[in-house]
Amino acid sequence: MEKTISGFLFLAILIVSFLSCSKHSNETLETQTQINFKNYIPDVSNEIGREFGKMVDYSLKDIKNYINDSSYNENDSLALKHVTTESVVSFFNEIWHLNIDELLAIRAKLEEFDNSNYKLTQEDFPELSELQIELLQEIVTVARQYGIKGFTENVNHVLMKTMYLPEEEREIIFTTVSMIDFALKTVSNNFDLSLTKGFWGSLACNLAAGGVGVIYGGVAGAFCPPCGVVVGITVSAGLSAAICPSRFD
Amino acid sequence: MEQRFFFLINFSVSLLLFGYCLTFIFDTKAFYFSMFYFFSVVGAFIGSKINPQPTRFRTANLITGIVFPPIIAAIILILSGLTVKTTFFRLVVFTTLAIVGIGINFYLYYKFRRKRNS
Repeated sequence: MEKTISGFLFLAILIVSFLSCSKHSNETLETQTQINFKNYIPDVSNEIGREFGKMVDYSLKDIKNYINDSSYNENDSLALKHVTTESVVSFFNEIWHLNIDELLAIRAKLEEFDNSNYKLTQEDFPELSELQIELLQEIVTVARQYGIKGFTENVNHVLMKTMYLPEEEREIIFTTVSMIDFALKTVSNNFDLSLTKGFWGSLACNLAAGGVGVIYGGVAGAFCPPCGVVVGITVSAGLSAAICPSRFD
Repeated sequence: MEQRFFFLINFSVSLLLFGYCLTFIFDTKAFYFSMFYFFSVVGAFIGSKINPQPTRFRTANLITGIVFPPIIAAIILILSGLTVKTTFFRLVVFTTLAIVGIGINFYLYYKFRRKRNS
């Protein structure tokens, strides 16, 4: 009887601990089914992808919420769906399904290009015109030069040049600008939280949660070792989910 | 006996998983979960040493000694978002290196101890 009860207790606690620790892991699960990450590596090797990838990994959830938000401008959303330059758009569409590990992998991959004078070329986007590529290059240059502060103001002169493009070709430029602009703003909003959302804050908080788990695990383990392990994990994971700023959403 | 078995298996697996996560997927949910597992095993071990009463839950110790590690490993695998193939491959490499490293350390330790004694 005692063993049966402890067996049920163990299972219940393990399920609770798993749920509490993985309550934000939907992206991870989605990723496994939806993404063929390697398909995007060639596209990622352009500068827009690189800049965007760096920014998105800080703000994955916010961007997803932004897109799902009903207040999000419907025209922008439609523009995203209808733009024909698939190599760019599919990348943008897919990147926010990636989990943090994959984004870090992208970043590591892309940083290989950082020291080279890599430029957007017609080969990267054979479906784009030369002028489009030139404008995209300028947009990226502005994003790099001005970063969070001043991108919106300084990108206007590039947008002015879109009048030389046929109307159907302007869409990709506007989409790119709005995506970069949004990503920059999201990053700037998150910078204020860098102390609590940063690596050291997260590590310290999780270590503290683990420490509390050790104490509880020790008390329970004094009477029943398996229960001690389960209680320790549960307390740690529960505390971590409750009080530690998540960097992985 | 059963208690020793439980701790031996769980401690070695938790250490392996923690080391793996520390090496390959540091600062991820999977890493923190493996850390909690490792800490909990250590905590439970300390607790069981503080209270050296004759072990109860013999069967539970035996069963959970075998069941805990794969369950935790599966959770860590899910949390990491990596494929089973990648994780397995890395784990094999990591385990091999760890065993070789520990072996070298043991060899050197006994060699120096023998020298010192002589």
